[in-house]
Amino acid sequence: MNIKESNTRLPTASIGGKARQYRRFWPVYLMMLPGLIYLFINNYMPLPGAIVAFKQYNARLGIYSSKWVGFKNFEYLFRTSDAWVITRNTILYNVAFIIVNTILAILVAVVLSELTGKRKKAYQSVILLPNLISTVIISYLVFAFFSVGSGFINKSILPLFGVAPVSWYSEAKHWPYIIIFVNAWRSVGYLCIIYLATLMGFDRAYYESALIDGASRLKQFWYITLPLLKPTIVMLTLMAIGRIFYSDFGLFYQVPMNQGALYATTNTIDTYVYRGLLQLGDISMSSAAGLYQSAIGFVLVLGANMLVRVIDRDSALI
Amino acid sequence: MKRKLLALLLCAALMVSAVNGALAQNSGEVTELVMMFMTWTGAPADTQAVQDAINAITVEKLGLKVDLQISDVGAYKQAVQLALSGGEQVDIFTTIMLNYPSLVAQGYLTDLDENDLLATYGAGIVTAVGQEFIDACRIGGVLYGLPNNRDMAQGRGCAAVATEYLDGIGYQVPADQQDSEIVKITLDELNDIYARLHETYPALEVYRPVQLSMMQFSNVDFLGGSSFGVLMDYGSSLDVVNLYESDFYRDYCERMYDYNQKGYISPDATTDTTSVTELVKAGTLMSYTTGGKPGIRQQETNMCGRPMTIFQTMDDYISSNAVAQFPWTIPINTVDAEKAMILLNEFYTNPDLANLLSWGIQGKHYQVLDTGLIDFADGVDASTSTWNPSVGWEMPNQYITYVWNGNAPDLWQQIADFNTNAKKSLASGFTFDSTDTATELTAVQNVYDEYQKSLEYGFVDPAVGIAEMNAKLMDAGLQRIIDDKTSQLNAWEALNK
Repeated sequence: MNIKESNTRLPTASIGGKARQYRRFWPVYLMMLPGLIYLFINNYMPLPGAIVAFKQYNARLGIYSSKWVGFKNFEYLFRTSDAWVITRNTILYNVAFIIVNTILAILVAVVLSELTGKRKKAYQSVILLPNLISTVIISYLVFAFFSVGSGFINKSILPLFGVAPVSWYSEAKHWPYIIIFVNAWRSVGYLCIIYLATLMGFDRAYYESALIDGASRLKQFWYITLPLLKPTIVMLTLMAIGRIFYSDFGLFYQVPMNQGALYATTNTIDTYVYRGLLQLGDISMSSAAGLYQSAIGFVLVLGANMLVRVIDRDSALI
Repeated sequence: MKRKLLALLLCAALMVSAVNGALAQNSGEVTELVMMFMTWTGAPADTQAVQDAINAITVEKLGLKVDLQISDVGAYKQAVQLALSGGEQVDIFTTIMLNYPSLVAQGYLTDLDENDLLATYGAGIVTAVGQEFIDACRIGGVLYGLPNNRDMAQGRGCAAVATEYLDGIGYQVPADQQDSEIVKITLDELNDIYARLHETYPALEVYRPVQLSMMQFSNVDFLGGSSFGVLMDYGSSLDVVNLYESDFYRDYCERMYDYNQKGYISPDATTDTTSVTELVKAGTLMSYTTGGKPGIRQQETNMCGRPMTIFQTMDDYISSNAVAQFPWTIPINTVDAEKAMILLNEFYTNPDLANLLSWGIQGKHYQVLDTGLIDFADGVDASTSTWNPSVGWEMPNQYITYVWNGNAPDLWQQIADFNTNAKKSLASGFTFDSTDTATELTAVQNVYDEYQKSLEYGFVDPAVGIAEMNAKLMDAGLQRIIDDKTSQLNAWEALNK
């Protein structure tokens, strides 16, 4: 994070300097070693296996001797007009999640930081609870609301306003709202804890002097809290952007109850791949999908980070 | 993340199997073989006891021990695929839940004719199953799997209706069919019964479609096990056509749409995953579609907890892929293919082993009644039994096991006759190699998933929905699949005529 600073202080970082650094900090490097070894075994050793995405896998021949088929395994991802729908859904939902969840989490964190004592603990726990519930259970909570024949909304809410029952599970247009809502309900609690922890670390002196200068709550939030939170927001958003090509499988598969009629707004890359490959069980095609998502995710993280560095160098990760 | 996990698992599996291999070599002459199959609920509590009982027989007779690796229906596919791709020891397994032709295409299975493996060590299997059924499992002329003895045919167009509601509307089974297990009626008569049921019991759901219903209520041959490119009219000609453009499919969807308009089907039918038999048991549903076979009435009655009447509107039929749907196979991971074949042969021919697999240990899990049929042992019932997997049809040879109480004593003979007398597809024994059309199959499957329930459960007007789905299917490459099936079928025909 302080590359700029260290560069100015050590304009000519010589090899001798590096060696001195190693001598001086060797216990720290030693402590890093187990982590690095783990990372190497777990994340780097399997990498050559990604080549299976370009092969027609045959167990008798093994990964490396199987027939080379180039990009054929990737074709099914782009085969139909669905390619556009699933890519659009995956990206737009993730963008919506990033924006909605970040705003809500910051607001909730600020509100929570104003509370004290037992009440704060209680609210914090309650708001975190949905994050701990399994997606399958969430899907049935949602179903209890939206069931066509016996759901709470069709049976109790809509009749109050004299509205006819809605076939929730066969009309795709409602689902963007439902999914964004469910996701916010589930993830905001966890996200807000990270923001809250950061908030609690701020120097109270800023706020005290602002108070003396007569700044309102809103002004304090706008001119003190938000700028101080910026590095955290940028980091969390960058991490989210790296996963913008992935979707929470449970949220898009379980919550809409795997309904075909809802594909237009609930099919994402992950659910498309799962549904397709469930039938075929093809190792090469599954790897192709994974590799494609990883590659795009990698490019997106680097791209987003580059953008951040142009705008504000100190907030960039690398 | 998944790939990382997989890689780690594979490494671990390799290490474990290497250690296992080393140990096995030291332990002397008894070879331990791994056998994999699935049950509905996973390994029963007495798996070890049954395995010991099997080993008591096989160690003495063959110098072989068997290690039963049992998964539940949901995990079996993954368990087998992980074991196969991880190089773990597996010696015999059933290909149920997996795709037999695709396992062959991916090179996982041993050629059973190689070095006369089957002829030398599996002669009993050929006698037990019959050469005709064995040949139906050949892929490109090569034999990779052995069919088991079970109901290969299926009574098409069957509806199970709870008898008490039929009594309620005053329905009488036709006089000439009073004694038959399955009542043959026409589709119009069935529709008439449904109309009267709805009139008398307006609060109950008349009929609940499930995903298999369309296939069970059709005369269509799902060539190679998929609905993309099929033979119509019980496979009486080898013309591969698009099922979704057929008159049959339109009529079927129109009937369901009509049912739905009349209020026979629950508005939650597409989302509710409760099984139809549970719904009947709970008293909210009156009828559903099933596949007919000898013993079906007893089976459905047991599952629904109330007497059922079975109607059939179509014929008994063996589809082209029924025989080769889930053969027993020896993977290339086996430590010794000859010994695996010897063990498999024993399971096909030794009633003691077959009974152990299907019913467990005599006196502990079941008892033989005076009638020669069997029932739960004293003090044991369906819920307390520690070996009651109910997967006799999955085992190598059901015909040499006892018949459960409540069925006809000659049930196995009835099933054999049922298989013999059923209509047969002209393409019987054809298997489809999907390697070249994997891309298209994935794409059309997604399109079909999108429309299947809306159309086949009658929630969308077929006049609009079918055309829309066909347009998208064609866009996704359905024609390529049909063309590929046609050319493979022609090649197969030339080879087998």
